[in-house]
This record gives sequence, C-alpha cells and structure tokens, in this order.
Amino acid sequence: MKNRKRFLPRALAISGLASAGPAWSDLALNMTPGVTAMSREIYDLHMLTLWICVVIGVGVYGVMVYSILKFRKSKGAVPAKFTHSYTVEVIWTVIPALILVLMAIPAARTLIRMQDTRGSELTIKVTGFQWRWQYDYIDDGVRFFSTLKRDSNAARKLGSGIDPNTVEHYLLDVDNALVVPVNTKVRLLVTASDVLHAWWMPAFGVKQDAIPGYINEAWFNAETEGVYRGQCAELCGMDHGFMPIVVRVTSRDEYNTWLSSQRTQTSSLAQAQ
Amino acid sequence: MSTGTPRNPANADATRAAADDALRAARARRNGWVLGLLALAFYVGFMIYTGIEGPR
Amino acid sequence: MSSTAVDTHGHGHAHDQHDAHHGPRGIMRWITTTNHKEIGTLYMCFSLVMLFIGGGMAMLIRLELFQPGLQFFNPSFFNSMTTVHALIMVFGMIMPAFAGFANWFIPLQIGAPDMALPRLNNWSFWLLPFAGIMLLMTLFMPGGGPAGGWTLYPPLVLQTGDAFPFAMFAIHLLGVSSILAAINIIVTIMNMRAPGMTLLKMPMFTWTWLITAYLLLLAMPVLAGGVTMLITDRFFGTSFFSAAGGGDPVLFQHIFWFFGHPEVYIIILPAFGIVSEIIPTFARKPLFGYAAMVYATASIAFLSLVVWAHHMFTVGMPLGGQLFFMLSTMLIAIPTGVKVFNWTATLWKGSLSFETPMLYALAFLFLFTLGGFSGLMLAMVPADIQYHDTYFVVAHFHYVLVPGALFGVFAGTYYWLPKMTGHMYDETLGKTHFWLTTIFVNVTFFPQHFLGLAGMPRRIPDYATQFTDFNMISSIGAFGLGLSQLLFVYVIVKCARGGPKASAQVWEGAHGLEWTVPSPAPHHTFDEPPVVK
Repeated sequence: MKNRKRFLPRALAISGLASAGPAWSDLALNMTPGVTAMSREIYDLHMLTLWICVVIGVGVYGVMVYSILKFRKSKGAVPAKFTHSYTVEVIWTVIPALILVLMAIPAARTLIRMQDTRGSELTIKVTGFQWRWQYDYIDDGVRFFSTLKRDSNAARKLGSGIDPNTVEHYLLDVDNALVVPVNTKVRLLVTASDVLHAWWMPAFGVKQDAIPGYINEAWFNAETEGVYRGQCAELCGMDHGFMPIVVRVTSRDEYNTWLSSQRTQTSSLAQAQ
Repeated sequence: MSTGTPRNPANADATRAAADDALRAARARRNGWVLGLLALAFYVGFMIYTGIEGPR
Repeated sequence: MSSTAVDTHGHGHAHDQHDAHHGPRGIMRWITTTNHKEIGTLYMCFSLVMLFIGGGMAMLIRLELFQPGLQFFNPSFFNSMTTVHALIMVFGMIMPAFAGFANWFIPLQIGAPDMALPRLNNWSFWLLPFAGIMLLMTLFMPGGGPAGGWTLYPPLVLQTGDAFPFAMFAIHLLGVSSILAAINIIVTIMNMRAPGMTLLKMPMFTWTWLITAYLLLLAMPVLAGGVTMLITDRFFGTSFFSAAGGGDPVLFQHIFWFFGHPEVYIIILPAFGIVSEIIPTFARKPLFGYAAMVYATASIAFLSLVVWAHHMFTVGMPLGGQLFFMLSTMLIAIPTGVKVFNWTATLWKGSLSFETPMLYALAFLFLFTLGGFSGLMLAMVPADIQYHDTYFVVAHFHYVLVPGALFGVFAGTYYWLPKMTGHMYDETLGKTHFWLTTIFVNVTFFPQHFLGLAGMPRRIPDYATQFTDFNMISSIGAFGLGLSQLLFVYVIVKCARGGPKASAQVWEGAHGLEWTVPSPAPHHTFDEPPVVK
C-alpha cells in the first residue's frame, strides 16, 4: 500500500505521455534485440513481420477509412450494384499467399538454425521445481538451486508493506545465478520434476518448456558479458510468478574461478552428507 | 397447421413443428441420432485409440 | 445470393399468427419451453449474467495487477480467477450468446417454424445454468477453485483440491450442452429450410453457424475425452498424462489444442456471420463475393483442424512438426484475408449509415484485423518463441475475442433487438455504449502488446517494477470497460420495456426472411413455410 504515494506522479506521467519525453524513456515498447546472434535474428524477423503487417494495415485500413468517409448516405451516396468480381478476388487471394511465402522463408531458416544444437562446448541440465530452478553442470559435477532472492520474497508477500520499488531487481533476482562463459555455445537440457515450467531468457532468444519425463534441448551463445534476467513462462502453480531466472555471463577466466569454487562447495556438501 | 387442432398445452410447441410434416420431423430426429452417436463414437473411440496407440 | 426474394402471401400475418402462448405460466413456462425464441432469450440472458460474472473476475485480476506487489489476493486465488474467468467467458458467455442468436434467428432466416428438435433444445439450454453454478461453486471449495489455467494442463491441474471433479464435471456438462445445440442446429438447417431456400441462398449467419456446428461436433468430443482421461488419471489410477506412470504430459496439450484451436473459430465464426449480415444492411449493398465468403469460412474451419500445435511451439517438437504447423497457421491468413477484403469491398461504393450495429461491425472489422495481424506474427515460430506465454499473446487473443467475438455479440444484439422486443433501442445510449466500449477496449488491451514484448509473462499476479505504467493504463481501461457494460444492460432493459415501435423491416437496407415477420416476432412464425424465389 505504501506505493500509493507513487501513484500520482505516475498517473501524471501517463497522462502526459505524448509531450513528456522522460516518461517514455523507462517504458519499453518493443522487443529488445538481445545479446546472441539468435536473439538478434528473432528480433529482425519480428521487425520484418511487424513492418509487413504495418504496410498491409495501412492499405486495408486506408480503404476502410476512405469508404467510411466517402460513401456516406448522409452525403447522398448511392449504392452500387456489383456483387462480386472474380478478378479482384483472385488477386487478393494470390498476393497474400506470395507475401506469406516471403515471410515463411526467413522464418524457416532461423528455425533450422535454432534447432541445431551441435558443437556445444558446455552442457547444463536445467530442472524446474515448484518453485525454483536447479542447474546441473553435468560435466563438471556442479549442481545448485536457484531461488527468488530474499528481499524480493519478503516484499512480494500479501500485505508485506514493503514498496516493491525500493527492492532492487524486484522479482527478477535470485540467490544463485546461472554462470556461463562468454562466446561459448551452451547447450541446455531442460526438464522438470513436478509440473510444467518454461525456462525463458529473453536476451538470449531461448524459451523451452520444462516437462516431466522429457529432456528438451536448447542452446545459446552469449556475446556480451553481463547479468541477464528472465522468468518462468509456463503456469506452474501458486508461485509461478516468483521463480525468476538470472544468468551471469562472464569471461572465461572468471567462469573457471567460479567453477572451481563451486566444485569445492559441492564436494564439501557431499562429504557432509 | 390450423389453430383449431387440439393440442396438449405442455407439448404445444414441440408438436407443432412435428405435426406440420411428420416425415420431415422423423428424418430430423434420425439425423439427430446419427450425429449424436457420431459424437459419442468419436469421444469413446478417441479415448480407446489414445489408450492403445498413444505415445508412451 | 444472400438476399432473397420472398413471397409473403403464403404465410399471412393477415390471418392468425399463433401469437398466443399456450403452455404453463410463470417460471414453469421458461423451464418447460420448447419455443426457439424463448430458448434463445434464455440463452442470451444467461450469457449476459455470465458476462458480468466473468467480467467481474477480470476486474479483480486487473485490480491486483494495478501496481506491483500483492495488495489484495494471494497468488492461488489470482490463478483461480484467471482460470475461471477464461472458462466462464468462453463456455458461459460467448458460446451461449451465439447459441441464443442461433436459436432466435436460424429458424427465422431459413423459414422454419422452430428448431428441428425442440425438446433437445430445452435440455441443451438447461444444462448450462447447472454447469455454470457448479463451476462457480468450485471457488468456495477447500483448496480453492481450479487454478491451473483454462488449458487444464496436467500435471498442474491434477494438484487442484476438492474442486477438481466438480470443475471437470462442469466442463463435461458444458460440452454436452454445446454438442446437443450443435446437433440441433445442423439438423434444423439440413431439414427445415423453406422451399426454395437452397444452401447457397442461406444468409451468412446461418452458414457460419452450420460450419461452426460441425466444428463443435468434431472438437468437443475430443475435449471431453481429454477431460475424462484427466479424471481417470486422478481417481482411477490410469497414467495417460503422468510421466512417472509411462504416460505423456504433452499428449494432453495435443488433445486440448486439437479441441482448443477449432474452439477459437467456433467462437469467432458466428461473429463473422453477424458482421456479414450487418455490413450489407447498413451499406445498402449486397455482401461482396457471397460464394467466396462461404468457401472462405469453410476453409478456415478445415484449416483450424490442422494448426493446433502452434500453441505448443516451445514444448520441444521436431523441426518438421514446427515447420508444418507454422505453414498451416500462416495459410489461415489467406481465407481470413479474403473475408476482411470482402467486407471492405462491401463498404466500397455503398451508401453507409452508422447506427449502433454498424458501428460495432466496423469496429470489429478494424480491431479483429489488428488481432489477425498479431496472430500472423505469432505464427512465425522463432518469433513465437519470444512471444509465447507473454502478455503479447494475452493482447492478441483478447483482440480477437473482445473486439472480435464480443463485439459480434454486441452488434447482433443491437441489430436484432428491435426484432426481438418490437421496440427501437435508444440510439444515443447505444452509440455512447459503443464509444465507451471501443475506447476502453483499446486502453485495456493495446498496452498489453508492449508489456509482452518487454518481457512480462502471462498468468502472474505480481510483476517487476518496470512493467508498472502499462499495467496501470491497462487496469484503468479494464475498470472503464467493465463499468460501461452497465449501460448495455440499461439499453436492453429500456428497449424491452418500451420505445418507438419497430417496423417489420426495422432497417432500411435489411433483407432476408427474418425481416418479413412483424416486430416483435410472434411466438410462432412460418407455420406455413414461405416460398423463397
């Protein structure tokens, strides 16, 4: 309830959207190109389709608006008598078909690349649980859970009284992030232990359902170091909205250091048990 | 159909379509049964098919 | 040709109209009625009640999403709201509304005295209130209502508490009701047409319903099968969908969407039909390319049976499967495009006037096309990987369901209300309702495109703070949209109670058999079949 205070400025910002430049700046309107070749390809495909739709839309809506303005009974329009025309009907069946073919070709190309998981240098098994992720570096014997960070978890409780705006990366931060080296083809083996989940990382262009009994493959090759955030994308029960995904892309060296520190942790945990 | 025909009030609406053309009404009922049985066969058959052939 | 020349001498309003009602009075009249007009009215009243129940749930959803953090509901209740909102709106609101129009106007449009199977008709309606009540009851059961999404995906849906068997049985009942209504409609259209009313003379609304009814007959038993298998999985130890028992959770998704995709066309085709009636009437010009419209509708229906897996591009299908479903989905754009172009060509060189039904039909034309565009974007598999299960999808399907199907219902209501009540509705109020609804629909759903593209998943009760602004706009729109519908009820009630007397033809440009009977349409019509030339 505390963030009621913030309502007024926000409402003002919303009402002044057209004029106020700064208000737009934190409003994301479009998909982001992401940091992998695949996500950029997807972005380009998205923009291509969008622009094709815009062009068709301008044409179709233009004719509709023109008809509505021009052929009004109140302006004395007299209805024409024509009922059909095979010529135009053939034209507007064939032309959309051609446009669709033009769209299908790049889509199919991207799709084929997307499915090609060959030549990966690192394989990580991702398992969805209600409501956290487990990452298993199967060649390196490192395995850990990744859960919503404490401060977000406290703030998101019903009537917590904590303003989400005061929590850094509210709902998008975890205790243990997935760490991967930069410029490396990483193959994910995605599965689930209880119900369906979906591992989604928008910046990588990866969304893969996690299904009990199935091991689905996905891959990415991140080209820029940084921290990337995503969320579970398949309804998985009560806390579906509270199992974020965070991937830290680091340099090779940093990754190796991190991996060896994790190895010691995992082995000491194993000994303790 | 004339209004003079005595009717069972409760079934008045139901019978008037039927009385109009008994043959047509009989055909309609038959078609209804066929479609209903088709739907039922589809429902049961689909489950049996899934039980036997479904991916494991 | 859809416009028909009618010999009105045969069935006189000059002699007895059979206007009197002979059966029981009061509530028993409505429970025992077998009259297609009364059952149509029942369907529509039920639908209106459900519109407000489902809409109320939507407003609760938007209330919780107004700002980040959980202010009002716990996540389980939120999830059951999204689930039941969808089930109520699809099965309780849109489908009964179109079934109501079908009951009222298919017999009138084809010159039949009633539906072919009047008692079955009564039963298919009266299953609905019980199914609806049972579905709503589940919200008050231990463990809460069904919260696994209207798609009922196992294994999550099997975690539902005591509500599970009740929700499943309610869905079975709703399905049985739809199948019975579909059978009745097919049988009526195939057997009860007036002499001379050949198939290719039938009005578009009747045509779209004939095709819809066949789709229902194909799709509904499959859903019923899936639901029954869920029940046996939960209670009788089968493991159709349980990986641990050798079953396959993805199998259910195939079953569900084999029903679910035809279902979206079951919902939209009657709206296509209504719009195809209204645009020619108010353009005072016959529907452009009637035959092409019929074939386009049939092609859409056929294609809808082979595109289901485009709802499942992220489940890990083989490449061939993804390509097939991408291409078949893109193919649907062709007949849908034909329909949009033909409607536009009907406007072209017409003589347009803009009464409320026409306004709704035009808004349908604009906004459904917008939903079609986002649908085309969603068909592209690689892009769908990003869109899937985000608010982009929510925006897309609400654009085809609200300004699509629901505007079809609104348009049909205003168009035929004078025929049903005998009075003209209040045009000023009708137009006010139209502008409020259209503006708020866009305020509600347009920002959701941006939310989805920016990365907000659907079905979450709480969101990261960067999504706040558009969620606020969307919520404000939703409250406005919900409240505007009170005006709709007021217009209907006012029209039912009185108003300027409507003529038989009602609209200057209206053609077809339903406009040859007086307004209000008498209790019994076409006792002697009209002759269609």
